[in-house]
Amino acid sequence: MSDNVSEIQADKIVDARGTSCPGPLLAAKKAIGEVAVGGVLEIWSSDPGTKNDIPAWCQKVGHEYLGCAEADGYSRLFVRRGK
Amino acid sequence: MSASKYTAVVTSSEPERVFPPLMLAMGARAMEMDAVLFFTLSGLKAIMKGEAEGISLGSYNLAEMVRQAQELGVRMVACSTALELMGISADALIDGVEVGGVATYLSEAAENAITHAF
Repeated sequence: MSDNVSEIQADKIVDARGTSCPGPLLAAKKAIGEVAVGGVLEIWSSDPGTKNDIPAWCQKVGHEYLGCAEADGYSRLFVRRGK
Repeated sequence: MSASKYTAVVTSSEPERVFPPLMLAMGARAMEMDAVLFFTLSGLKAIMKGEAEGISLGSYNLAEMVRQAQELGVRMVACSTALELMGISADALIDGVEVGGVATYLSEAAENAITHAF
């Protein structure tokens, strides 16, 4: 399941690298509104806590967490907008 | 049922005590929860004009965080008893802060909320 994550074509990418908690979470919240329901948002973050924050946020708010791919010095997290 | 609100009583403006409730409140707003912070005693400094600017921890500045939290819709209440005890006028508070008593905090805390004290 995680193997294909890095190949997902996101509808929108939000670059939250360099921001610290709660920065990436707030950036994701703001950006998800610009993705159609069912579409995919890709969040770039260099903050280690984001890998825990985004899945928890998805569960609370009703989006689908698709997984995380590691890039050079940052993580790429994929979320499908649920509602 | 999952909590729909985050509340905290903030009693200090020391970085270790004041940054966590602000971060948690902003995170709560990102998770589409309501957030209410009740500032009392030394926590009042965080919401007084010209006071929070001088308090920082790493790259985080308290005045900037308070402003960001307000923009995100975190509700902020100043304790009326503490204002009187410490001789602080309501005019000394930043804009957008309400003044309330224990019943204000408790009625928020009682409704499906996470309740923290710092």
